[in-house]
Amino acid sequence: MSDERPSPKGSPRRDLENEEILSRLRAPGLRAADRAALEEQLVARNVGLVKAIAVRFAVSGEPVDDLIQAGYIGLLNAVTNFDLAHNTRFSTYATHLIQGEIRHHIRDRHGTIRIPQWVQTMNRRIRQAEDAYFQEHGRPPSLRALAQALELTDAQLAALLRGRDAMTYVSIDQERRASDPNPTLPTLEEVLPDSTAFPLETRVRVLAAIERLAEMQQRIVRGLFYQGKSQSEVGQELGISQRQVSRIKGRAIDELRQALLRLGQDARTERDPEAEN
Amino acid sequence: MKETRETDDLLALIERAIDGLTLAVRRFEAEDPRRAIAHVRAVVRAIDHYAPHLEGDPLLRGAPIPREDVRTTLGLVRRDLCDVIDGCVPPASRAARPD
Repeated sequence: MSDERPSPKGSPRRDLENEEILSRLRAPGLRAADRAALEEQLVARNVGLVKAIAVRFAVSGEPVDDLIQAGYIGLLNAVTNFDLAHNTRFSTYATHLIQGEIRHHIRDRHGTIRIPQWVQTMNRRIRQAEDAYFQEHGRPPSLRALAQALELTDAQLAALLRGRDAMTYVSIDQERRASDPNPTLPTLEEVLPDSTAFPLETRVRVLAAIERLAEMQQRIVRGLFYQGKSQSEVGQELGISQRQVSRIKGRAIDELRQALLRLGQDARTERDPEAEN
Repeated sequence: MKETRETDDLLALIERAIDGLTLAVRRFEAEDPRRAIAHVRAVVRAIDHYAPHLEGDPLLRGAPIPREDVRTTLGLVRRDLCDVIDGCVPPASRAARPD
C-alpha cells in the first residue's frame, strides 16, 4: 500500500508492525483483556486500508460508509484468520478479505456491479485481441503486444486490465487476482490517449452506439427474413408489396455485408498493424 | 448524414445512423471535431424524429422484436451520443444540443 513507509533497512515498517502485533496475539496464554487490546490496535492501524479500498467501490452507488462497514468485517476476519506461518504479508491477506466483503455487500444489494458501457466495450475488444493473438501465435500476448494491437499505450491497457479485475467478484478469478491483490477501477484520465481531438471515451461511446445499432439491425433482418417466410408473406405482414420487401432485404444485406467487411478489416488491422501501411 | 422530413423505417434509420457515425469517426480521426459533432447531432435528430413514429412502423409488424427493446436501444444510443456532444462542446455552445 502507498501508506507503507519503508524502514531504514528497506522493508515495509507497517507490515512488520502488523505482524509483530499478530505474533503477540498468537502467543499462548494471552489474557483476554490483552487480546482485545492488541486486536483493537491492529484494527486501528488498518482503518486507512479499509477506507482506501471502500472508496474505490463508490462507483457501485452504495454509500461509502456502508462499504466501509462491510470492509471492517473483512478486516476483522483477517485479524482472526491470518496465519503467520504462511509467507504472506498481512496487508495482502487483509486486502483480499476486505474487497471480498465489500463485493459481497454490493452483490447482496444490487445483484451485480454496474459496469460502465465504455469499460464493457473495451473489455470485449481486449478479449477479441487476446483471442486473435492466441490463434495466430499459439500463446497469450504480452502486455506490449496486446497494447499495440489495441492501439493503446502500455499504461492505458494496464489501467483497463486492472478495471476488469476490479469488476470481478472475489469468488471468480481468484487465483489470477492474487497476483494483483488490490485492483482498482481505471479512471478515464489513465486511459485517455494523447489525441485531444478524439479521446478514447468519445471513441468508445461512438463505437458502442454503432455496435448497438448493428446488433438491432441483425435482429430485425433475422426476424424478417430468416424464419422460412417468403417475401410475399413478409410483405403481407408488413402491409407492403413484395417488391418493397425485396428492396428492404437487399438494402439490409448490403449494409450487413459492408459491416462484415469493416469488421474483417478491423480484425486484420489488429492482427497486423503494419498491413495498413 | 442526409436528413429527410419523411419518416424512415427502423432499418433505414439504423443504416443512416451507422453511416453518419462512421463519418463522425472519420472526422474525429482527421482532427476535425466540429464536423464530427455535426454528424453526431444529425443522428440524434434522426432518432428524435423517428421515435414518435415507432409504434406505427410497418417494419416492426413483421419482425418479432418487442417495441420496448427498440425504444431502450435507441435511448441508450441517444444517451451515448449526447454524452459525446457534451464531452466535445464547450458549455457556452450547448444551446444547440438536441434535447
